[in-house]
Order: sequence, then C-alpha cells, then structure tokens
Amino acid sequence: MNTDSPRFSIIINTINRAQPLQTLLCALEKQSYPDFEVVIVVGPTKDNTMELLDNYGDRVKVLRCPSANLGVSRNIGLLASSGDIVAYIDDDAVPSHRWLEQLAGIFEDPWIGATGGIVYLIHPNHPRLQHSLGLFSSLAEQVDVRSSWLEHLVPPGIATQWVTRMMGTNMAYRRADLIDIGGFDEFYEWVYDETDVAMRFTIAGKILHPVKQAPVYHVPASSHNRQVFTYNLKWWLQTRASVYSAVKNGTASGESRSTIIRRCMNLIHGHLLLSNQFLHDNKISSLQAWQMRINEVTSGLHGMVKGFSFPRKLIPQNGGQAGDDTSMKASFHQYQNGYSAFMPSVDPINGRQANVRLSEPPLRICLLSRDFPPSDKGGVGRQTHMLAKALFESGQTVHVITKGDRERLTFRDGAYVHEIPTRLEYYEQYKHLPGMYYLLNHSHNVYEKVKDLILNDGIQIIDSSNYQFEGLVTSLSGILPVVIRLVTAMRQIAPLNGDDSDDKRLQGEMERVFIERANHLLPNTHATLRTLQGIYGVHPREDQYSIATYGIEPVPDEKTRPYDLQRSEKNLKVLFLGRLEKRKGIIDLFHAIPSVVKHAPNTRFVIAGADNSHNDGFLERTGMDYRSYFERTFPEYKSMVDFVGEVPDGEPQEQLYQSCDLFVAPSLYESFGLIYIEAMNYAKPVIGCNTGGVPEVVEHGVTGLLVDPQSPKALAEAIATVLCSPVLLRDMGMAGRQRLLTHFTAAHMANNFTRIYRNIITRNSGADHQ
Amino acid sequence: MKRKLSAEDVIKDIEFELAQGVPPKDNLGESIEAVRQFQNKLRAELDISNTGSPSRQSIGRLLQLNDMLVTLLQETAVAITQLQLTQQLQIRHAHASTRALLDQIDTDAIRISEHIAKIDEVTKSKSLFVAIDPQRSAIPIIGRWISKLRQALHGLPLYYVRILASKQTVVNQAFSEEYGYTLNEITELRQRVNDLELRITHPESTD
Repeated sequence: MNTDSPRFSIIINTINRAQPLQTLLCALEKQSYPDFEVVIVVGPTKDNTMELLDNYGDRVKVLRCPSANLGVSRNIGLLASSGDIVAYIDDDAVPSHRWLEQLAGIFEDPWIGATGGIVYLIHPNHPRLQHSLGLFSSLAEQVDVRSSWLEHLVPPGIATQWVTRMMGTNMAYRRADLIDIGGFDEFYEWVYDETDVAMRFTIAGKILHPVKQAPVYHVPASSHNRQVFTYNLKWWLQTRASVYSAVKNGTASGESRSTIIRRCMNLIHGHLLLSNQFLHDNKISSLQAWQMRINEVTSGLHGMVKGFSFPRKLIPQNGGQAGDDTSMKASFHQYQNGYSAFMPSVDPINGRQANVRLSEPPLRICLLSRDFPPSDKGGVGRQTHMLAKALFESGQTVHVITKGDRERLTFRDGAYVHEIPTRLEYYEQYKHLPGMYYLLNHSHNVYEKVKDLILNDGIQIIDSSNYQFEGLVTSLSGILPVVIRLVTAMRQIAPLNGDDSDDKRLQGEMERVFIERANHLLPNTHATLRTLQGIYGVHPREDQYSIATYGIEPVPDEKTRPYDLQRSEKNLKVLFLGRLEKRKGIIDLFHAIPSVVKHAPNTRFVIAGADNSHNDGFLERTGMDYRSYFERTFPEYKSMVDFVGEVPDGEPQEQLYQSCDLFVAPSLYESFGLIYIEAMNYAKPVIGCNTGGVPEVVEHGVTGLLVDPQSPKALAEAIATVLCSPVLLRDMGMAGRQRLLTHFTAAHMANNFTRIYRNIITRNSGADHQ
Repeated sequence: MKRKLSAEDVIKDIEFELAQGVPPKDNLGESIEAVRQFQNKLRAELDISNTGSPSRQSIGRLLQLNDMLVTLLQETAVAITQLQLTQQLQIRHAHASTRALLDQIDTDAIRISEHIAKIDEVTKSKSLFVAIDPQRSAIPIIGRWISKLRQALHGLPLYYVRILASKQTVVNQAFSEEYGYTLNEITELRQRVNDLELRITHPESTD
C-alpha cells in the first residue's frame, strides 16, 4: 500500500453541464496537491461537453457512459483510474484549494480506507452548510450530524446497524479497497449510491473516516432528474433507491424480513404524504402530484422486487472486463501543467476568470470586515468590498470574513464571503464593558475561522482595518502576517460623537496595540499616517508601512455628465451624499445654504443619506433629527432642499451623481475621502475640507475647492464660486475625472495592494506561498 | 480606588485564551477495524433474523452497543486527524506561534468521559437481562406439566444467549483494552507535541 504521497484520480461524472464542468476544471488547476489525474465520465449528453473536453486534449481521461446512471458512471471512472486514491466530486462543485492535500493527510493513516469532507452550498440565494458529517442505517435512515457524532451516539432510527457516511460530491476511497467491495451498485441511477457504498465498505470491515475539513463548495445545477431549488424533481427515484437500500443492507445486517418490509412500506407511504403536502402548499401541480403518487408506488415496489429477488450489480473483484479500459488504467496523466499555477482565480458560480495574464501565481488573501455589503454599507465595509472585487479582477483569490447570524459561505462579487456568528464564549471578565466584550469575542471568532481557512484554503495573509481591531487575536497568535489598512481611528470618532466612556477608552487602547503589533501598515494617505502618529504615538519605520490608496471602477465615458456650457437649463443642483452626522459636516452645510442661495438663487440642494442623529448624540442633545433641525432653523429655505433619505448603491446613486452639478462633502475628518472619487467618476467638481487625506485626493483649485473644516462661511463662498462659473463647473469636473483615471482606479488599487501583500508574504514566510 | 483596565491586561487575557488548546492523539484505525471485523463476524455467526426469539432483542441491543462503542472510538479519531493536519501546518509555519495552531483541535468533540459513562450505564442496564417468564397454563391437572414444558423450551434460547454474552464479554474486554491503549497514546503524543513546540519556539534550549 502506497502511503507516501499517494496519487489521486479525481472522478467527475457529468451529463449536460458543460459550463459548471469547465468551472470545476479551472478550479482544479489551483489545487495545492499536484499528484492527481482527472477522469471524466460523460453520460448521454446533449450539450457541448465533448467539445469542451477536446480543448483539454490528453490532460484529462474522457470516457463515455451509455446511460444516465450514476452507479454505472462511477464504476466506469473507477476502472479507468490509475491513482492510489479515487476522489469523487460533482460537476457542479469546486474544491477548496487544499482539498486533496487535506485528504492525502488523512490517508497517511494506512488503516483508513475512505474519507471525505464537508460541503458548503455557496449559491448567493441559498447559502448553507449542506453536509458536515452523517450517519446512515441499514434500513436507509439518515441522520445529519452538525458538529459531532456523539450528538447521535444512539441513533434515533429503528435499524440496529449504523455507519458513518460522506456526501457523493466529496468522498475519496483507496482504489483497491473500493474495487474489493465491488465498487458502486449499479442499481442506483441517482442518490443513495454513496450511502450504500459506505454501508458495504463498513460491513467489509474497512475504515471509513469522514472529517470536518477539506470542504467542497457546491453550486447545485439542474439536471435530467431535478430542477434545482424547486420541488420539481423525480422523488420516486429516491423512493426506489431507498427501498432497495433498505432491503439489501437490512438483509446483510441481519434485520428481519418483516422489519425490512415494514420499513419499505413506511418509505413509500412517507413519499406519498410528501406529495400531498407539496400539493397542499402549491409547490407542485395536481398533475405532478398524481404522477408522483403513481411513480412512488411503482418505484417502491420495483425497488423491493429488485432488492429481494435479484443480486447486486457490482464490478467483479478483479477489476472486471466491462468498461475496464486497461490502457487508460495503465497511464497516469498529471492534470496540472506549467501554466496552472499562473491561472487567475475562478468564480465558482459562473466560471468567470479575470481577464489578466499573471506573471506570478495569484495570492490567496483574507480580508476582515465585520460590516460588508449588502447587509452593511459602512465605510470600511464598502472599502473592503471594493478591494475584494478589485483583487479578484486582478486574478487573486479573495476570502472575506464578516459577521452573520449563522455560519454560511457565499461567493459574491469576486470573494468567498464567510459569515460567522459572534459567539460570546470568551472574555467573560469584560462583560461590564459591552463594546469590548463583543469586539474581543468577534476578534476571537475571526481567529477561529482564519485557522480553518489556513487549513483548507491556504490563505497567506490577513488584511484588516484598524477599526474595531477585528484582526487583533489573529495578529497576537502570529499564525499569519496581518496587515492593517489604516482608517479613521476610534479615538478620533469617539470625541466627535461625545463618547468618553471607559469602554470606548479601552477600545481605543486596543486599537493602538493592534496597530503597534501589525506586520505592516497600509495608510491610505500620508495624512492618515500623520494623524495616527499624533493620536497613538506610533512611528513606523519606512519599511513598516506603504501608502495604499483606494480606487473604484471607472464608469464608461458615456455615463459621465460633465457640465455642458451650452445647456439652457439654468437651475443648479448641489449634492450631499453620506451619513447625516456631525462628523460629515452636515451642520456646516446647513448653515452655508442661506449664503449660497443669496449668490446663486437658482440652486437646489439634494441631501441623501441615512440620518445618524440617534448615534452621534445629536438627537439626545437637541431632541431633533437633522432634517427637523434644518427645517426649524431655516424654514424659509425648506423648499430649496430635498431630503431623499438613504439611497441604495448602483443605479439610484448613479442617477444622483449624474443629475448634480456640484458635489459637496464638508467632513470634519476623512482618512481618504472615497465619496469625492465617486463624484469625480461622473466628472463632477467637488467641495470638501482641508483635513485628513482629502487634499491628497482633491486637488485644490484643479478638481475642486477645499476649505477649513467647520467654516460655514468659507464653505458657502467656495460653493458659490464654483456654481457661479460654468467654466469652473466643467473644467474642475473634467480634471477630476482625469485624476481618477490616472491615480484612483480599482486596477491601480489592486496592483498596489497585491505588490505590497506579495512583499510581506515573501518577507515573512518565503517558501510558504506556493 | 480600583485600577482601570489597560491594553496589557486585555493582551494577557487573549494570550491565555490562545494557550487553551489541548492536543489529543493518534491512530485508531487498527483498533476500530478489529472491533468492526469481530462485530461483523458475530453478526454472521448468530442468527438474529428470528423475530420470535427472546434472545433477538438482547442480541440486537448488544450489537447496537458495539456500534456505539465503535462510533465513540471514531469520534476520537476525528479529533486526532485534525491534530495530524494541525501538526503538518505547525511544521510549515514553524516561525509562527505554534501554541496558537494547536487550538485547531475541536476540544468540544473530545469530551469523551461523559460519553463513556453513558455507555457504561447502558452496558450495566437491566435492558440486556432476559428473564425466563413463560406464561402459566390455566388448564386443570395437566397445566402444571405444560408450564414446566414451556419453561424448558424458554431455557433453550437462554443457553444461546449465555454463549453470546460470553462472546460479548470478549468484545467489551477488547474495546476496553484498545481504549486504554489509545488514551496512553494520546498522552504520549501530547508530550511529543509539547516537545516539538518547545523545540520550535525555543530552539536554543534544546540544542
């Protein structure tokens, strides 16, 4: 038995799924364990699967299965394989980066004959942990096990024999052992094939040992047996398979005939009740219900007759003749080639890859952001989202860890998004400081997830903002290099919001420690670095930080709206877009409006964004939200200002930018000022404050004007100056757009971050980033 | 006056949490296979398809008990496998804090003792005891002889149950020996992991 670096044969059984199959083949290029071949068994397919496979030449073994029968197809793959281990994965799934490496580690134990890992359903609309561990009985009863087999130490069914099982899309066997038990029973054309094998494998005294690692990411696709995410599937095939399984395995396990028959009747009856329920819930039509009922009974009886009266259809123990292509078995064609390592990352949902050519292997990066769109639209979340998207478009693999109400995984906008619930299991001693208690626990939960991602996905670096010190525990553990994107410090925000509690004080302290202990700092501007030096007294050496500016995806030229000097419309529109809170300078803008209107009476103001008066203390102090404050303080200007509330991302925001003539954001502090870039994207001049990183983004007098913070008078003058000059409106807008294209695109950002990450990884663990 | 909490206090607490991981250990494959093979051999040897037999219930329960024991062993093996994976990583990331990596072990899954107690309880429970309790005959005169005959007939399956019980004892002994062996192995491996960690984090002290 070869236990040193076993060779794997990955067997894929496919029918009519060329697109997901191509995605899987792309993903396999990225496996960390290179010693594997790919065996593809194609059923009676009607799409372009064969044309697709022609492109792969002899990199893959391609076989045909004459029927749409999974058992037959799996056996054909098994017999044509030449690896020590056969690993089965569905054509609509992709493996984690270290899938085979993890499985190989398990097979290092020579007594283990089979294993498999967990399965995540990663479709954005249906994310869940599909399979962790499982138990299966000789009477076709199944129990899902979420965390430990000990949950069901006495399984709740009626059978006397229970075995562990894997899911068909993530299971691996020693080839010799699988052939020894006759491979798959070819009666199973769909479902129960993997559980039946698990039962026979165990009865034969072999060790089947699933684990809670080595995940496969599943994106279920429709097939001839089911329409995915609907109730339109051939339930009766399940009935037939389960009844047959109960008869065969029940008999082999010594169950009495009467028990087996009773169980079979229960299975058929249960499916009949299911059809009634589906009909009652309007999930299927009346016609479908009748079809289901008739098929349930006939299929169930068919399964019983086959089970009781006919022998199993297995492959002979010597490997068999039928379908055993000895020439294929003899050859082992390693799938990966010299180009595999340089392939860009693949979107597992639609198979898309970035349109780039890489000169170095892509990185595997993990971004931390407790807030992440679409559920949260805070600044850090949006930056992280943009960064993730840009990194994917530059070919890298990106994982994001964010908060969620339960554990799940999706793939969105170029990133694997791992949602983790914040479990308050640690640091009880900080319960009296609720903010600290929560943030420390979240940071620890993040660290737990990071360890999983190292094991399964081979992440190489952690990128976290300093905000709420999410990566603190990971950083202290030293498990991976942690870089910190510096954003507005908590110690800056707390006084602005009037919060001087002990809880906030300690949070600020932890932010300082987090920054001090980072492997590398990524301030988005020089100003951010200077500010943090002032606040926290952190003075990094030149090789300990890099300026890493953000960037956005430029809109096409036809979507920009520079000011038209020929236009007949005389009314002008000024846009404010951001949270309505003191820090964003909303009060200063309110106080500037009367003066602006005096100079430019045909001006309208659009105030867009969520009111944050309940969080920044304004409501508490004044008893009013911001809109009420404006309307009471300046009632005569009420008709000139539109409060439109929070505006969703995408088209609604785009319309706001396009329709305005001038963008204003008089924030008291911005570490960078992404909002200005977003306005510049549409060729709009901008007015901001000469604070933080804003002057590094907005070129005063060229792309807009900057004034001192908290100076409503100067703000009004600046707005009026630009509004009253059509040439300035046009030229500053055009210059802003040009500045964006030259310095602040997503591609600039991705290239810069990737270069920095690569240097840090090389510096910290030179040989470890393959 | 009570001292205010500082960042250093919090760091100490975090480092304490990071140091909590406890590694268990090792290769259970052989023992699991031995128990399973014996179990399956027993299934094949004993006719348990006769539902009318009073011994069937007992045999079924005994076999179920064995399945539980094997499951328990296998659960331990899961934790051990995770340890093996962690160790590989530990070596790859020798520069990093090894103690933190050891946390990979799912310590919740190793709360074995309470489950051992559970199995013990099932083993000792009266559910495995099959009493001879034939129905008494109410027929006058010959009823007493009929009752004696019934008693004798019920004694026959009991004879086989006793044989089974003696075989089951062998299974239980094998299990207990293997488990004891495993626990020893776990302790040894834990020591080896600690040594390894020491060598990685303080190479100078072991040179």
